[in-house]
Amino acid sequence: MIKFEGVSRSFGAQRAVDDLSLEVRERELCVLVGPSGAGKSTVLRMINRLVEPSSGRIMVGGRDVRSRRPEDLRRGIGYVIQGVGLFPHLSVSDNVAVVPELLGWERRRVEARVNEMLELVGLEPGRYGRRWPSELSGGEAQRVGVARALASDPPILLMDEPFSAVDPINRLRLQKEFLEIQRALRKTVVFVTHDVDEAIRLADRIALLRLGRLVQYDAPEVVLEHPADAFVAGFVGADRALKRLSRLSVRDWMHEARSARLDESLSALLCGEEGDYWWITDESGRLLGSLDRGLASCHGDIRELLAGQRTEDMAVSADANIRDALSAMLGSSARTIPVVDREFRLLGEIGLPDIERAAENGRVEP
Amino acid sequence: MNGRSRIAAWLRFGLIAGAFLVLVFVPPALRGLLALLFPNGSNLLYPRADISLLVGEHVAMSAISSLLAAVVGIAAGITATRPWAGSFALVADRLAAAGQTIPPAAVLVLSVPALGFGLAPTVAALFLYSILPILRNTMSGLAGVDRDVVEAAAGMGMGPLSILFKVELPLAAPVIIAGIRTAVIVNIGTATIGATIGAGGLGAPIIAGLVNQKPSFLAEGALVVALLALVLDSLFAAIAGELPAQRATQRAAAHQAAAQAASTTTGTTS
Repeated sequence: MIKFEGVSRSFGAQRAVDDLSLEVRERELCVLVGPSGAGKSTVLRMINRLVEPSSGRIMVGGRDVRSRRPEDLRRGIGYVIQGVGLFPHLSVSDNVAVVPELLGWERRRVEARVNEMLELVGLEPGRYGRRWPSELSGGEAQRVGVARALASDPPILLMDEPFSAVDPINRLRLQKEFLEIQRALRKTVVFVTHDVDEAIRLADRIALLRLGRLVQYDAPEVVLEHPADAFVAGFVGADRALKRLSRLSVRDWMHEARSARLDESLSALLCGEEGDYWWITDESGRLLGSLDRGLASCHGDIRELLAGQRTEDMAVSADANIRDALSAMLGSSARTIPVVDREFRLLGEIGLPDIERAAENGRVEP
Repeated sequence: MNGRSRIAAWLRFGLIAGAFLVLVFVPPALRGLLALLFPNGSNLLYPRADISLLVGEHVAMSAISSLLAAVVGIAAGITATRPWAGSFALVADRLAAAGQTIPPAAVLVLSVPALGFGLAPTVAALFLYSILPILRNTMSGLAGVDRDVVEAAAGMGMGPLSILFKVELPLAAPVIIAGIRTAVIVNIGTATIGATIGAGGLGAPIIAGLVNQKPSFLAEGALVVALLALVLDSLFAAIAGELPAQRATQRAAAHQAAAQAASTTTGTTS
């Protein structure tokens, strides 16, 4: 879909991009990552001709970008930048409508599309459509930026550090939301960031750049497992084994848990020899806590024992990654923790052996 | 500026403009006012021309020169801020600054041999004098537009002209309008000097008052000029409140103030 063929770009004596060859496949999310000065933004901006290469060729959808008028090329490529760049003198709706209007869509179609896009990024059109950009929070503005870039339904999306100006908590949320949108829309995305964790979280493939050169271009798992050289290893960090765990989902590695409902027959079930534990749920399957066999029923009121347990801190969501599960495990000093869904219903449990298995099986060949 | 203060700005303009129109087109009003100021005088009104005619001449001089200055100043300001302009920005700025350094009276005197007496040299002097604020404000207004916004516009496929007219100029408008406002107000005052070389306008009763030692003529011209300047100033204030860029920033300020007020209230209650 996007192909760099021996592309270089110099600014004065400085080589910002040096003989880059890279192909981004259709519907793939490619993250360009590297320290500042690596040429990431320059690479991105050459795709929509905001920067022209000094030599080499860039193909988009099989055509040399230089064979197309910059304006036409850009209208077919969504673009999100770090500072968002919303037009401060236009309402949120009018901002989102810019490209469809440039393309000459009729008004009713533009309006419908604007509302659809705002809903897609989680902003209620009735509430947000008529606001000024200056009345939005950083996270909201960034969502509008994404909505605006997607408004004309371009097959390609370029994102230049779109979430770096937002606080860490909101950044995580925006990343998660963006992944959901990407799973639904499957655009060809080129995403620039200097944040390795962000790259690992989002990328189908990571392109590591250093001083304008491509150092490694692989799936995140491969980059983490087999860094191409000492620079990559250093850049992804000494905790890359842990980072690899963050690509694995709890849902895929949990196993069934032994559980019982909290009702009258519970005492009879549990009053046996010691050593085993049971997860206890309410009638609708929501997790209440855990009880050791024997100890529980024979020594006092079950409800009282459950009331003292902080299950919220212990349980992990099935959508979480293995790294979060490991962290929760260490935090609660339990070797096995319960896995729950969004309604806190018990789905299973995950233990240290599962995580070891995941780390082992999740390995990839170089 | 919220809805209420926008209406207030237009109301203020309406009141001042109403007072001005009454003074100019209802002769007893002006005569009565002067009689109040000079209880012992007689023949208080400037006899050689009707006040409405003088106002007409005055407005024509100021309007023509301001309009020319706005066209030239904005065009030069836009040119100077284009990426291909090079050192034109500096040159334009220096020239306009030089234009304002020369006192208008000197321009009048110097242009009489070339343009003769009357309206033309006055308009020329006023024109030279008003370019600077308009040019400077156009340049700084355009330079002040957020680069991210321009970059986003280009990246979305807007051409240079769309970017200029749909993004840069609307965003720079409050600053540009402020420049025109300054130019026009200064123009209204300075145009009185035109009367010394026979351009007429509201300077005529002032000069006549000085020459004939008739303070009431002087007051007649000065009062009406001052009120005219106020009318235009309040008009520009009202227009400025309608600009989308202005409304956006003011809404943002109100938004922040509200957020801050909310956080301080929660701060004190908790």
